[in-house]
This record gives sequence, C-alpha cells and structure tokens, in this order.
Amino acid sequence: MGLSIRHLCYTYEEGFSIRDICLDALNGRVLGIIGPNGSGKSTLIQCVVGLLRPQSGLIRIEDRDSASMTRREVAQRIGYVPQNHPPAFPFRVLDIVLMGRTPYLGMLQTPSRCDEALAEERLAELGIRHLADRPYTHISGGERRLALIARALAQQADILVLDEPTAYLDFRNRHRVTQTISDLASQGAAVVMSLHDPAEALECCHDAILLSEGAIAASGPSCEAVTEENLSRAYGVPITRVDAPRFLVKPDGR
Amino acid sequence: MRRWLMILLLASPLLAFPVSMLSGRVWISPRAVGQMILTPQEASIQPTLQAVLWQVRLPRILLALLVGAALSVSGASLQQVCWNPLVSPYIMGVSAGACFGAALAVVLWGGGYATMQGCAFAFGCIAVAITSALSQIRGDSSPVSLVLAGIIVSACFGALLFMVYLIADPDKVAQVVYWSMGSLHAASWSGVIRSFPGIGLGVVLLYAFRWRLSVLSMGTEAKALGVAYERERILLLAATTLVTAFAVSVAGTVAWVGLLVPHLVRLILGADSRSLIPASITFGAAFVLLADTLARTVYKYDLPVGILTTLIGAPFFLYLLRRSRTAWV
Repeated sequence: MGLSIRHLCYTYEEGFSIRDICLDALNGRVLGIIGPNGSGKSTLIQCVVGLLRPQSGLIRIEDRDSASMTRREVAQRIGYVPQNHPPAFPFRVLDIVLMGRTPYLGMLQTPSRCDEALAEERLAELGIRHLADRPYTHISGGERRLALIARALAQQADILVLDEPTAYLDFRNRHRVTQTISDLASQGAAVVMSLHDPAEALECCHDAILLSEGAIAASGPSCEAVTEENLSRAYGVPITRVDAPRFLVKPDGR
Repeated sequence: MRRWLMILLLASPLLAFPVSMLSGRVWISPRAVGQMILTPQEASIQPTLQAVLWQVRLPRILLALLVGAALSVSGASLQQVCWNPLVSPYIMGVSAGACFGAALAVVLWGGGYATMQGCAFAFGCIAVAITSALSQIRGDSSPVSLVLAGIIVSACFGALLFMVYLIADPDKVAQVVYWSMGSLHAASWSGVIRSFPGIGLGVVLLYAFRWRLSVLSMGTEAKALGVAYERERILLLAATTLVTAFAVSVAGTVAWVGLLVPHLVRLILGADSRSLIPASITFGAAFVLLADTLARTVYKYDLPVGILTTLIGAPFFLYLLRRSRTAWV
C-alpha cells in the first residue's frame, strides 16, 4: 500500500534531470524530501502526482502501476497540494475546495449538494470554515495553503503529496499545517512533502530523502538521513548542528 | 441578492427583446407587434409593416442574440481554458483568422453559408494553434505573452484580409468590407437557420463542460485533479473556435464582446463557471442585441455594430490591464 517509486528518471529539455529515484511512502508515516534549491524536489513531486511524465522508472500507487491508471484514478488516490500560486480568477474558497471533488465527477457533471457539504466539512476540520465565501485571491498566504490542503482532503485520497507546505508561513499557520499533516498521518495517510528547511524533516517527518543534483544523496529514518555529513555533502558547504535559540508553538497549543 | 442578479442576467434577453422589437426607423406600435406575433392571420396591418417585422426586424434580432451568445460564451471559455483573464476570441486572433477564412470563401467560391463557415472554422483553428504555439516560445506563459501572440496573429490575418479585398470582384468589395467590420444588416431567416446548428452545438457543449472550465482555469494543476487536461483543452478550444467561426461568418468581427461580457458577469456573480457560463450566454445575447438596436437606430445610416462594441470594449480592456498588474500577474 501507499506509494512506492523505483528507479524514476525525468530529464528536462534544458538538460536538468532527476535520476534513479527510489522511495517508499507508507501509510501512517510522513516522508520529507529535502535538498538544495534546484536539486529536483519539485520535479520529483510533479512526477509523482502526474504533472510530469517520467521517461523511465516505476511509480506504484496502492500496488498498481500508475502508468496504467487514468488521471482520474490517480487523483482519487493522491491528493496534491501545490506551492502557493493565486489562480487567475477570484474563485470563492469553497469553490476551490470543491474542485477536489472533480476526480469523482463525470466529465459533464457538476458537484452535488453532498460534495458541497463534504467540502464545508473539510474547511471546518482545518478551522477555516469562515473563509468559505471569501475570494481565494484575497486571503493570506497561510490561509491559501490551508484551503489547498482542504482541497486535497476533499479528494479523499490515502496518499497526500505536498510541495513545500510550510514555506513562507508564520508561526500560527505553520503550526496549523504541520499539526494537520501529522494528524492525517496518524489517521493512516501516507504523506510525502518537500521541505525547504532540513530541520523540519527532523521535527515533523518519520523518514527523509536528501536530494542533491537530481539524485538521492541519503535516505532513511530522518534522524539517520539528516546528519551534518550528509547535509554538508549535499549543500556543498560545511554544516554543523547547533541548538540555537528557536521559537516554536507549544505542542498542545493549537 | 446573488440569486436575483443571476435571474436578472439569465432573463436579460427577454427584457432586451421587446425593446429591440419596437425600435427602428418605422414605428410599429406595441399593440400591432403583439397582434402580428400572436395572431398573424387576423392582423389587419399593412403588408409592408408585416414585412418589416417578420423579414427585417425579427431575423436580425434572433441573429444578434445568437452572435452575442456565441462570442460571449467563447470569450468566457477561452479565458478559463487559457487561465488568462485578458483573452477573448478577438484578442487571440481567432476572429481575425475566421474573418479571413470567410472572406476568402466569398471571393473564391461566391460565399454560400457552408463554405464560409467551413473556411472560417478552418482558419480560426489555424489562428488558435499559431497563437498558442507563439505564446510558448519563450517558455513562460504569462498572461501578456498570449495577448502579444494574439496581436501578431491578428495582424497577419488582417493583412491577408486586405489582400482578399484587393483580389475581390469590385462589385463585391464594398459588401465584404462592410460585413467584416461586424454588421448584422444583412440578417435574414436563412442566416438564422444556417448559423443556429453550429452555434447551438458549441454553446451546449461549453455549457455542459462548465465545471471542467472552472477546474481547467487552475492551469496544469488540473491534471492532478483528475482532468484529462490535453484532450479536454483541445475539445473546448475547438468548441470556442466553432461558435466564433459561425458568428463571424454571419456577422463579421463584432469585436470585444467576448472580453467585455464575461468580465462584467464575473464582477456581478463571481468566478464560478457554473454561473459564469450560462449568464455569459444570456447576457452576451442581450448585450449584442441592445448594441445592434442602438447601431441601427442612432444615426441615419445603419452602423456596423462592431464599431459600437469596439468603442465600449477597448477602454474596458485598458481598465482590465491596469487591474491585472495588481491582482493577476
């Protein structure tokens, strides 16, 4: 079950490639993907959710080869949270979340009352029900991220793939996002997310993969993969772990 | 409130219809119009008035409604499919391509409806294909690069249209030029009947896909929401080109309607395509009908309605561009 990738390769026309990526995302666990800018984190994520078609390698989604699945079948199994970007038109937040129901609709169907109720429930779960009628283009970056997570939850998928879900968020929103993610994992979801800050992989992920120039530099349980030596090698600068002053939201403080 | 506004927009053609029916150089009283429509056999009205109403006004009104619905729904759909608020059939060069195709058909083969519509559709498709390809040359797909590509394509087909004028039979030139400015003065029942199938088919198709149009406006991300992105986009682009080509074949380039109407509807009802598409169809129909009514009554000559819609639409585009800098790009 979950998601399993073997020997995945994707090469852009301009020459950059990710090579020989193998990973397993298991139900109930959070897998973090870290690495320097341009190491291929987003490319990998886009291959997983089907935005890019890998040239070789195997992606198995709940024990089925994704190459033999339709986009609709994939979308029923993988919920995707892209990096922040405002859409061209001022959709209501509720409409954005409703779009997560698309994989369950026929080509000419529109969402039903049931779908609408489900979307509202997802908003309530994330504590942003009050945003339902606001235009998506007019809410804050953190709220947008939460709305996109609500959309992915509306897909009712067992696998969640998130592209830098914590980037640019303030304390409160970052805490809400990471808390939601770990709750989902403890409810049995398999979570894959790319992270900008390696420390977050230690904080919120069970497992981690360190990418460097398109290949895996280290992988395993996050405390084993995210080490001073591995990071130094991947980022090309000497890195040391310190207990510098840091502020965090208290574990019980929602 | 939103519900009532929606109903108002959906009913707008019903409100515009009587206004247009009663307007014109010849005054026909509301009572006489009612008599002629409800009980045409018994009506004791001069045959000339009958002819004005049945052979001139009514087909022209129906055609204006058809053309308005076609151009507006095509604009709304293009904006969603290209996730770009700045485009319309006119901006993307589809109208120019279709116009060239239809004019070519008139000059080369005398211009039956079928050949005009076929040529307009073929060249409309070519224009869409070139515009899409050009906009991707630099790898970025910013809203403005699609507009620039559209300008290039429009300019080329505009030049080709002038070549058609040059090789046209001198007797026909005036007629072709007048038509290409966007005019409904040649409206006839056969025009209505020949335009209806293509426009009807495209409009129904786009309406049926209204939820997909919302999802497609999220861009490539729609793939991860289970949309067969490439196939559905091509189908919907073809449908927008079809309705545009049929509208252009019968009325020339009635410019800017496809940009103006969807944005007005969005301002009133919001972005959701489930209301945007049906409201654009009806409000677009009413808008072109009123514009054409104005065009045929405001001056001593029959003005091409395209001139009026341009005078309203072009300043509106400027307003959109100013807004887009903050909210969209």
